Amino acid sequence: MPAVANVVEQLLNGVTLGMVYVLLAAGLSIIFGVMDVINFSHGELFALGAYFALTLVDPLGATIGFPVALVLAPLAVGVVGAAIERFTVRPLYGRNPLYHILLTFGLVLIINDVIRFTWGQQQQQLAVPAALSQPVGAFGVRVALYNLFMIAVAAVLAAGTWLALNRTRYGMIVRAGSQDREMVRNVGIDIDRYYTLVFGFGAALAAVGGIVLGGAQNVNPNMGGSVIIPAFIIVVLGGLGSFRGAVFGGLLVGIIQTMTRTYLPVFEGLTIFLLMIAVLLVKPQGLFGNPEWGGGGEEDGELLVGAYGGVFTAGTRRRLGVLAVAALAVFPVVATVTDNGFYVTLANTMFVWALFALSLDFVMGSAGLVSLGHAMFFGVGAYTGALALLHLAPSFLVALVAAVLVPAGLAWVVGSLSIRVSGVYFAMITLAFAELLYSAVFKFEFTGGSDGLLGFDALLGLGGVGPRLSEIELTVAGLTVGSSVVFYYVALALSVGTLLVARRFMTAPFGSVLQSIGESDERAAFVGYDVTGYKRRAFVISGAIAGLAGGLLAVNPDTFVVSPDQTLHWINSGEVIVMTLLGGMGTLFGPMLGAGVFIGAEDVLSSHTDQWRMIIGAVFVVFVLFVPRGLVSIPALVARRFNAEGGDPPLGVDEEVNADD
Amino acid sequence: MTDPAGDARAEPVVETAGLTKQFGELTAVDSVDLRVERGEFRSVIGPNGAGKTTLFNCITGAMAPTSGTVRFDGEDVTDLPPHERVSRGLGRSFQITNIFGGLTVRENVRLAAQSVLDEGMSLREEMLRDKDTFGRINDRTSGVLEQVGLDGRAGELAETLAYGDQRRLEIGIVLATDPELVMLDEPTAGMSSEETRATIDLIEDVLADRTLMLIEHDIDLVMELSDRVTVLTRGEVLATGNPAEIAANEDVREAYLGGVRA
Repeated sequence: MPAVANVVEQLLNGVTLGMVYVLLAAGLSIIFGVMDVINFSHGELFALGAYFALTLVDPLGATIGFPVALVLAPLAVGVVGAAIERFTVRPLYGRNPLYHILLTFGLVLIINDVIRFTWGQQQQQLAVPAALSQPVGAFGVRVALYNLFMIAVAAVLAAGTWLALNRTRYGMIVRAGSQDREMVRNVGIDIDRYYTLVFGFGAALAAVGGIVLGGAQNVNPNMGGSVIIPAFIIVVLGGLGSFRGAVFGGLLVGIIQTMTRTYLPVFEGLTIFLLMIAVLLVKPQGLFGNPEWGGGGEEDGELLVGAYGGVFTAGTRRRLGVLAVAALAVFPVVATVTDNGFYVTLANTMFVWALFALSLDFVMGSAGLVSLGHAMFFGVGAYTGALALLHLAPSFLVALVAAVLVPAGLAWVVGSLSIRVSGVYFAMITLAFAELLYSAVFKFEFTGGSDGLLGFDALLGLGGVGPRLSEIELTVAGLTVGSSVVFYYVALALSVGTLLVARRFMTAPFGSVLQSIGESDERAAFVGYDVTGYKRRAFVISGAIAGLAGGLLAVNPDTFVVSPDQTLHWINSGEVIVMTLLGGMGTLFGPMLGAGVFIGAEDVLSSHTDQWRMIIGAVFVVFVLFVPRGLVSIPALVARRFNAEGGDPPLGVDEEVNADD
Repeated sequence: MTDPAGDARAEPVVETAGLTKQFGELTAVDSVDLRVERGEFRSVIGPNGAGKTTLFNCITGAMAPTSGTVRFDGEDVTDLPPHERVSRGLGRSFQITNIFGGLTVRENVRLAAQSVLDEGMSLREEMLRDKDTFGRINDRTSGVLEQVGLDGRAGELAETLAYGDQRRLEIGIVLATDPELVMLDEPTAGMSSEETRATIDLIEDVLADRTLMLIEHDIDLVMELSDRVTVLTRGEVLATGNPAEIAANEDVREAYLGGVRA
């Protein structure tokens, strides 16, 4: 019966992959359960394990080196993990879990660049002992001995972890801490001391996973990025903080992924996201999650907004704003005269991202909705814009209108489904929706698959009348004005206009309710506001703005292709959160500034060094740790430095607020 | 035990029938039949874990009961979300102070006023008009701030207020929604005896014309203030009556008061 044998083989492959996931997810889940940290860098620790093993196996040879590496490399990664906890994560306890996401996102950039720098970009082979590479067979089923070895290693470790959690004093305290940290503190145990240990242990488990998977496939710098999202799905699916859930979810996802790849290749990459969305909608706390957990939200630290950190008066601010817009308006002239046209192109990219960052801040900075999947609206906007140009009408206006409407509709659907779950679960479910769309665009012909869409061109007009945006060349006062400059003014007008409208929304009754929801959604509900309705409306507006940003990307004459990685990839969602925080959450203009600085820094750094991601990551970690209110809070920080002797207003009180009296 | 004062003329503001809330094996509220008349001052007392807050949560909509019904002003509100109960006139405070800490004192009250005065506000006004330019909302806000004595601190951030003032603000927030029934969950928790007195005076002063339900641990206060008292133990109603009846009730003395006063 070859068919049955085939299924059994695939099942074994699925279990093998599943066991690697179990190792990853168990660590992630325990780390989350005990200290509320969503560790985005877990995938990079996984990769680091494989690379450490590579370094050990090379001089020692596979037969001796591999077993040695299997012990030493995870220990080394454990030490790295412990150091990460001690020096970067620890100062953030008590703050909103968002800051851990942001911090570990910065760590991803750093560790990944360290890996590329130390071991190179190419994939490498991790040699395994010859004895393990032979296939074994029985009843017509053939499977590599190494697979069985992987299953055995992971099973032993998982069982050991379970025993350690359930049979030792340490484990009992850790488990108790994941149920109720305060209670553990109240009975006199210093749970904080266990954090470093737990983080190091989780990192070591991930490293083992990296080594065994590296031996089966290969070792490459992208291996961390490719496992982290499935690992999150597993943790959320099984229930955050649940060890049983991690084991069950890991096996389930491993098997489902392998089976769909073999038997339903059309759905490859889609099934696990659909599964996660379905589970979260039916059972928001995950399959094995503790329903009491995360419901209250009382333990959540608040999001630190930049809004009330200012030292300038309202008048000064208005003058600064007008000055900034005026400077932006003359910038292309200066750039053209001085023959620096390239900077206009760069500024155009900044506008696109500034609008994208504004869209996120609209929901995150006010109502506290942390969307980890905002790239979906940006990406759908870009695709809609490009598709409208290709099939509907080659007019930039039509493209932009479509790019606003379609993502707004999508935001209504996603918002309706996901706003009932809150906090970390909301972040995860939006991530799942975004990943679902990212995987989906590869499947369809009309989206151009992995190549994306190209060959579209925008006309500066309506109904087929008007010049092509990319061919515009005017001569004004002896200066040649190219299409980039025309686009620049369109983008500038849209950016300023959108910012002003968004600010109006925020100072109107609608915005005041969003802010009250961000402060306490329970209180807002008991004052009489339909919290879900307000959040959904804000989410739709945010989706529309993100779509506008995507649409601008599509009509930008310097954009030749709209591809999945450039628009819908989760890295884009991460980067826009980085920009928002960098600039100053909750101020609307701050995140736009953050986007400009981020894009500018990226451009400058990448032209000088290959390790620019590492620098951005490091700057970012410093910001999360020391300037959590972003760039806009720097004047206030400086001011406080200078009159540290008191007399300065308490943090959070601002002239504008005092003027309300 | 039936409600002896249930004469036909008095209309109940809130009425529960067979209200039950279970958490797994634990029955926190056990088939409670409660009837609170208009204008009544009703206290709910009972030992820790008796289900007082859970009962409040079921009435206000913070939790869905496992079974039973809640009627408010004669209408079945069991399945309504909290905000719709608020718009029908049900206001509450929380055991743990729950205010908008990062907003000004004035904005806290203004938001509460806005929530009940926003009918007739057009979508355009709601989205685009400056929130501080609505006359009726501003008047209500100023009035309430004066009533609770926080008009001098309107510009301060709520989180910077002293604890007692935060509890005052919370009462102001409830008051600004112009509720018919006010449910206060331990408004004096953690206060000194002077602060407690001041808070009770404030409640008597500004909420006297409304129907009140109060969870309070200070038995002397309860006996002094209440029209009627409901005693809960292990989720069940042990007794309901006026303070004198409750003080004389053998079951209550044994189960609760005895333990406290002995």
